[in-house]
Amino acid sequence: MKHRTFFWFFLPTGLAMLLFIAAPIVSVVIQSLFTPHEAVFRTVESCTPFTCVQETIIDQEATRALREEAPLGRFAGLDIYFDRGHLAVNEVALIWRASNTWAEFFNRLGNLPFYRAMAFTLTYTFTVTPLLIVLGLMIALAVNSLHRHLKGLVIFFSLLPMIVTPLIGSLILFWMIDSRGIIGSAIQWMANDPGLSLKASTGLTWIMLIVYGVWHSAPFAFVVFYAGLQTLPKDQLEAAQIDGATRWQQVRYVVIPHIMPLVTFVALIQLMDNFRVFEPIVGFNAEAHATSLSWIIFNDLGGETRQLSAAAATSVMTIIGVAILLSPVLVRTWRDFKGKH
Amino acid sequence: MAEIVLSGVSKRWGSFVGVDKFDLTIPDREFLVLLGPSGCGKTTTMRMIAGLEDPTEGDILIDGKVVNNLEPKDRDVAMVFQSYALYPNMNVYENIRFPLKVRGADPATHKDKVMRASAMVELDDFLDRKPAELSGGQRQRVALARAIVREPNVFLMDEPLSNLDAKLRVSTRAQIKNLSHELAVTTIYVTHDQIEAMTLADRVVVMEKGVVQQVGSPTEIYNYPANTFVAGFIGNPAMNLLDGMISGGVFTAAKTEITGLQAPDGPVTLGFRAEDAEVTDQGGQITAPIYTLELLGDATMVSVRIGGVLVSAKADKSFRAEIDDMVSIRIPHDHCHLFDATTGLRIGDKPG
Repeated sequence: MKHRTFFWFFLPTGLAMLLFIAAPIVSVVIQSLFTPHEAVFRTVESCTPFTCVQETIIDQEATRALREEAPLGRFAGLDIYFDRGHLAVNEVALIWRASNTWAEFFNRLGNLPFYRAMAFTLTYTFTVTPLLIVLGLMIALAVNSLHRHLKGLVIFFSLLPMIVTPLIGSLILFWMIDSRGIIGSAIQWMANDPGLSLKASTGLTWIMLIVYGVWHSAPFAFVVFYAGLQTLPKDQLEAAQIDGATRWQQVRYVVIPHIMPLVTFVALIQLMDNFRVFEPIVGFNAEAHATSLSWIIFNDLGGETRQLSAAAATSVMTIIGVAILLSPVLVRTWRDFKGKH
Repeated sequence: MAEIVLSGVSKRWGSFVGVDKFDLTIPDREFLVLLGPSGCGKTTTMRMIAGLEDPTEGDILIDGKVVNNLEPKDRDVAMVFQSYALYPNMNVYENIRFPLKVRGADPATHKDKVMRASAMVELDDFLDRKPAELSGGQRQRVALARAIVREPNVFLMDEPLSNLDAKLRVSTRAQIKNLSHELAVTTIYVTHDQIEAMTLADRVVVMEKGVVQQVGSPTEIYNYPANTFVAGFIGNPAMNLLDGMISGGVFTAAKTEITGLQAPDGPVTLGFRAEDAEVTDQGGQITAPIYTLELLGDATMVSVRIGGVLVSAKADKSFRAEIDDMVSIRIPHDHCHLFDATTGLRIGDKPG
């Protein structure tokens, strides 16, 4: 395509991307560099017949005027990024100096909101993503070997977790694991501990969230892999059979290499999605045990004082986090691309 | 050591017959070619021997053992696919090594065996390359090496040359012939190309619509085709076939009269090869205007139209004439083949 034609062809998309993607990101980045104005104080002297008292009061008018004059707030540079609610550099330095062992260091680090959220977010991302890929591939292989009359029905049921709204899905599971729910009671019975509650234990809550995450996302991986399996090279599979490969070896040496590009694709999408884990935390009411960056943003924006700047800073760090997560895959894709040309 | 016996092997899909009652014994070390047009069941027959397809009925025996219910990997066969079916994610070395690896052969022996196989097909310089970086002929040789590395009892080759260009096909054909001589392993080779069949085979099986038409050495099949199908399929150009009447040893058709034949009176199909005929000015058995003239370099092919069919005769390479010039074609009666007009079966054992 000629450059000129391409330009006109791309223009509407480009404009929309600028308007709806680039501009908001720029605005969030700018917002994260400013902090709200402090109130303007004024000292007034109020005199009673006996004595005069000096009082400091908030000058409402001046404050309003100031906020209207510069609605972004006061320029703070990277201060917000380094404050206690975010990277907390000073606190981390203190903890570093005060801790004797790594365990102690990480333990104390976990008390800082940002690091607490990061710990769960990263654990969630790096357990859910591989697990859902493996599970999705297993379902796809199983469904693919079914008789064609059964396939449609099984595919429909396999897709249900994805069709169900995440919030509803997590709520249903939440009620099931309640101590009076079916899973909760079953676990109590199995552990022979009537006081056992999934919701009270941090470890079990994490496991529950991870299980939910895999349950919710596996159908996506399944659909993508199943589509990939439809284009399997029949000759290669037959050659492998004759060469002496077992069923597992056929999967290992022919099927998986064939759908590897799809695995990369699913890994990319799911790393990105899982890093922004949010609904299950709200749905499971699990804030006490697990928080994520997205949850922090939600929390900052939701309170009585809407902490726009704090939320903006966390958002920017989420974007940076996603970029870091995806960089190895993107670099590899780029190399493959360059290798082919 | 492997003798293969097919006894009454059939393959049907619903009412469609792929292979019909195939009976054949392939002795050890024979190079057998299954020859026929596409859809004749030759590949299906081979896939049943490989175990990729289950016969609907009949038994397949390898080395005296019924293998019908054995997995392909347990039949000790190796196969070369038409598409080569190389593993694209592995380099040439790994491709050739794959059968050894998955069969759990002693890893210490892998390198020697792979090197020996790759030397046989002259691939030593390409061991690090991926299949995508190889030419068609090189890929084909990788597929061959992968088949021979395990030293199987039976080789199966499914049109291994059909994706190569004409020149490469000739040299690879020679290479396969030499390899099979060196390895001396029972080989079944599927092709639709009769030249490949003639050059490679110890014995040829000609198939059509799932039915075996003739089994014999290339010479037998060429010299004594069992029916009109084989006669019309083998040879380049194929045998000329003329429908006509015979009475008192004289065959007559439009513009044609051949004497000295031995057959009962009635309608017959007469066949003769272009190279057995001679083109003269007069005195031949067929006299007709030239329909077309083809210069082949080593000869000139003259065609005339008899009834609905074209009849070709090979003339000397210096022969020149114009289209519509009258020619006469002389056909020695002892080079004529007679076939039943309705069944197409051969009449008599010998030509003439």
